[in-house]
Amino acid sequence: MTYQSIFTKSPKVGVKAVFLLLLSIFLIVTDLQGWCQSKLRYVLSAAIAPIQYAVDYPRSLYLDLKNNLASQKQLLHENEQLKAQQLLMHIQMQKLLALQAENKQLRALLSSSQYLNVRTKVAALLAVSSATDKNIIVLNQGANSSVYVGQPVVDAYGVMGQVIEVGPLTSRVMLVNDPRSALPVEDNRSEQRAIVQGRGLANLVTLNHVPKTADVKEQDLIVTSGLAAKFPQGYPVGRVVHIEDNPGEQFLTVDLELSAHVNRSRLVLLVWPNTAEENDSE
Amino acid sequence: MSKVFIIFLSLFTALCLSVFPFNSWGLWFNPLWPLLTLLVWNYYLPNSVNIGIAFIIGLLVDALGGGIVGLHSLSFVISVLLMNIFCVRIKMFHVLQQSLCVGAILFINLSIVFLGILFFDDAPVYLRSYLAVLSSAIMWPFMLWLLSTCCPSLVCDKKLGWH
Repeated sequence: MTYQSIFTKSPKVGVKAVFLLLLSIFLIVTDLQGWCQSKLRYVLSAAIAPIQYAVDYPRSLYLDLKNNLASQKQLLHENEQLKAQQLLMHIQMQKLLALQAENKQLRALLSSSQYLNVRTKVAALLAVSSATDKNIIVLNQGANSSVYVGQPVVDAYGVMGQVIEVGPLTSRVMLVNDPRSALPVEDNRSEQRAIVQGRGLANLVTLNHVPKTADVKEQDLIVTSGLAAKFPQGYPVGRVVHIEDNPGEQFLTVDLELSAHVNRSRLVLLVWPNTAEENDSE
Repeated sequence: MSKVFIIFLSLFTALCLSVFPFNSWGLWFNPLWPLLTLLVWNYYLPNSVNIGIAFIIGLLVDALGGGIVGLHSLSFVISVLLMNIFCVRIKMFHVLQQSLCVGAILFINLSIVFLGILFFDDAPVYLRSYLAVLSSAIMWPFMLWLLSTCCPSLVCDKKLGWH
C-alpha cells in the first residue's frame, strides 16, 4: 500500500496497456472484417441506450411542458388549423381511394403483384448528435419493433435514409445526404434513371452518371426507382435545382434539393416494403 | 457518496454531453468530454481510473458515434497512458501549462481517431473537429477546479500536499 502514495502508477500498467492496445486492435480488425460485428454492436447499443434516452429526456420534457402550458387561445387556433388541414386531406384521400381502385384494376389487368400500401410505423428521433458523423440520426425504435438493417426511412415530405444499425431499443439511420449513401432513382417526368449520392451538405445531393443526352430539366421531381429492392418505388427524393453541362466531363452535373426535411423532421416513418397492406401507424 | 458512484456519475454525464445536440458551431466546439473526464480522474486518482476504464469508455464512445468499434478505445488507452506516464511532471506545472499538455494529449487522441477513419472507414473527416481540442484545453482548469471544490476529500492528496 505504501508505494501507491509515493509512485502514482502501479508497475503493471505497461503490461496492461499492451494487452488493452492489442485487444483494441483485435476489435478494430474484427469490426472491419465483419466477424461477429452485429452481435458486438447489438450489445454495445444496449449499453448506450440509457445515455441516448437521458440526453433526449430534457427535450421531451420541455415539449411536454410546452404542450401542457399552451394557452386556450393557442390550442383553439391550432385546432382550427388542424380541422382545415384534415378537410383538405379528406378530399385528397377520396381522390386517392378512387385512384387506388382504378390502379388495382389496372394492375390486375397487367398481372402485376407490386404493393402500393406498405406497413409503416412512426418513429421519433432521439436528440443525440455524433462528433464524427454528422449525417447519422438515432431513432427510438429498435429490434423490439422488428426494425432491420437496410430498412427505408421516410418523413412526411420524402426519403430520409436507411437503417444501418439496429440495437434492442434504438436504431441508427444514414441520411441520404451522407457521402456514403447512394440511392437508385428516376425522373418522375421522363423516367430517366440515375443514382443519387450525398455530399455531406444539409440539403443538396448530386445525381450521378446522367448522360449529356438525358432528358432531365430543372424543377423535375426525382423519385425512388425501386431498383435496389430496398426502397419502394415512387417515393419523392428531391427536385432538380441546377444542371451544368461541363464540356470536359462525360456526364452532366445535376444538383438536387432534397424533399425530406432531413434537419428538421422529428417524426419519421419506418417502412416495411415487402409486407402486407395493413397499416400499423401509431 | 461513494467514490465509485461519483466517478460513474461524472463519466455518465461526460458521455451524455458528448452526444448533446448542439447547434452547428456549438457542435464543433463541444469539448471531448469523456476523455477530458478520464484525464482529470487519472490526474487525481491514477489507481482508480486507469486504462481499463479508458478502454471501456472508448468502446461506449465508439458505439455512440457509430464508427469503427475499438478505434476510440485504442486512442483513449494511449491518451490515458500518456497522462499516466507524464502525470508527476504535469502536476508540477502551472495550470495553464497543464492545459497545453492536456491539449497535446487530446490532439494525439483525435489524430489517432482521424488516421483510423482515413485508413479504414470512408466517413468524412473535418479539420474543424480540432476546435474541440482547443475548447477541451480551455476546460481543463475548470474541470480541476470543479473536482477540487465538489469532492475535495477524493482529490486531495494529503501526503504530497497538492490538489
